[in-house]
Amino acid sequence: MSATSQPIAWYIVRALLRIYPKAWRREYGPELADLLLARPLSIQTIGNVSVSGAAERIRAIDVTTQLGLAAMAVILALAVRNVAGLFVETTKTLPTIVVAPLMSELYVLFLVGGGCWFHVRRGGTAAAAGVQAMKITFIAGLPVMVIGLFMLTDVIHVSNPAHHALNPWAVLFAPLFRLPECWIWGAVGAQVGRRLPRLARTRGKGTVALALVAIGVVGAHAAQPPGPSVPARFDVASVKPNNSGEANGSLREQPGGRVMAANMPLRAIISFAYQTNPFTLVGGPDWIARERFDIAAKLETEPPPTPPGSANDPIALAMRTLLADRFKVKVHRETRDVDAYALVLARPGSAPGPALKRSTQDCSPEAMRTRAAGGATPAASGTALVPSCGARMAPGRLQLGGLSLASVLGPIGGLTGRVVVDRTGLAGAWDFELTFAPDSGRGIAPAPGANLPAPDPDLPSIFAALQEQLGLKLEPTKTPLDVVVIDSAERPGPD
Amino acid sequence: MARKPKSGPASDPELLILASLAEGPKHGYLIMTDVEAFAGVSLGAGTLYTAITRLVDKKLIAPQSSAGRQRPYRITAKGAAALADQLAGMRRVAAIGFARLRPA
Repeated sequence: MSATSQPIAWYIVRALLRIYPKAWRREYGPELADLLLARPLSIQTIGNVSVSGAAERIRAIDVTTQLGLAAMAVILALAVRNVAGLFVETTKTLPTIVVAPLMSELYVLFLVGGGCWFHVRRGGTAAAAGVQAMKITFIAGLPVMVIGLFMLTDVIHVSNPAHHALNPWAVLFAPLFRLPECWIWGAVGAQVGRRLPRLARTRGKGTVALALVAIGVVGAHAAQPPGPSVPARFDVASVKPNNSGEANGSLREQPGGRVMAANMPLRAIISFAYQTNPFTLVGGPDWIARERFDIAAKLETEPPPTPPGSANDPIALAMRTLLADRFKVKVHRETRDVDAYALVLARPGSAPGPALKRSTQDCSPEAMRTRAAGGATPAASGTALVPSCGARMAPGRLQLGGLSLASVLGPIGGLTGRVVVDRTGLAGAWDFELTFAPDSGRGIAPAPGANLPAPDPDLPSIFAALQEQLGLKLEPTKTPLDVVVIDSAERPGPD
Repeated sequence: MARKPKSGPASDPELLILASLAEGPKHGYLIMTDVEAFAGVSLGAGTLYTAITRLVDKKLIAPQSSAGRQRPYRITAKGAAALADQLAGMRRVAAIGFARLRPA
């Protein structure tokens, strides 16, 4: 770098010297400044002095604070990892239950108060008060660390299913990870203590005392157990293999935060937990589609109502934790190009087939709500057989009333065994009734023992029916799809 | 952090500073130019003062009182002994290395 003009260099040198700790500057600052100004300042020199200054500053910090800073770096790294983890499903859980008492608002208040006391009584600096707070936390965290040590050495076993996923290493180190936060709160307390006398002088002792009481009340209130939060974990859960050989199974959510799965393949339970359909759940060992289980589980409290299939269904979220604990299920999400069918007009540019009619019904959510409230009947549909509003599927029959074609993509996908995407360009609501040979698709086989009507050789396949009756056809294509990939799963041990 | 045209023990900033001060007291700028001249190593200002701080802490060198802003540093008896010790070790290594390099 070329030499900078003298006044600018002087400012740069002054800024560089600020990197060094004050005591160092007093001892060596003037001569280093002279030396730097004696030669043209280069980028290398600026970098060299910056690194040297940072090293001296770190050297000037006492060992405890250095440890605190190192721990903060670890926490930062963990935070980055956790943020990255938002995009990847993991089965690891952090020991929030064990750590929570350490970081309640009351504890923070205690640390701030301790720092304040330390400053007022002993005249300690903010840094020293922070160190005191770290010592308090370390001592308070010793029992937690002993629990972690006992978990690691199998001296104690965690019997509460709600704590099954606790990682012993995380329990062991949790109090240490909290030290930097406690250092900050202690230091904040000392700063508060430093300002108290001046505040008392300028605002009056009564006002300061009132403010402290108010802070205490707010802190104590904040430290009350939060409202009815629902942890993503069942309070009690029972998992049993079902070897009955029965074909039918069921999985139902019940009032009171209960869920009952009876004779369900593990794949179907995973599909429930991750809110997937057969196309968006892939991978995993073969046995998870074969081997069936009974699960009875209950959340601690009644969860708030969530729409069916919601990604935030507390029972589904708790089921993920249960699957991770008992079946060691590991999954990740990714986008894959999958085989699909595009639903297109059989003759592009022309009208659709005779059975596909533009709907005269208003089945928008708003109209449905008004109807439900007022009991009014929908406008008469063009076809008496078509459901008034909605999509309905029966063996060999698919009906749509007053909804967009997107509403039947799922059922058609189920019949054909591939994801179906709508590329008809037909917007708006439609009515139709489609009849086809029940087993004509290549999709999911009906459950064994299902009461299917006798096959009619005159009925067309789903592919032909779409073309002949609705003027639509299915073209093979590829489409990107967000899928949940099962990385691994294990058979569960006994309850 | 030295800008290193060379690497190895002879580029150690603390050793170079001790070797420079063995000749007599010098202030920072003179040490820098001297080291550059006799060892071909260009010490950065930060590196120089980090090394000076360490050497003062270890009592291997000591600042001398001075009227100006630039304080000269002198090597202490302890520093001279440490330098002699290090150089003797380097001489031993150098002698063995050269002997082994000689064709048989």
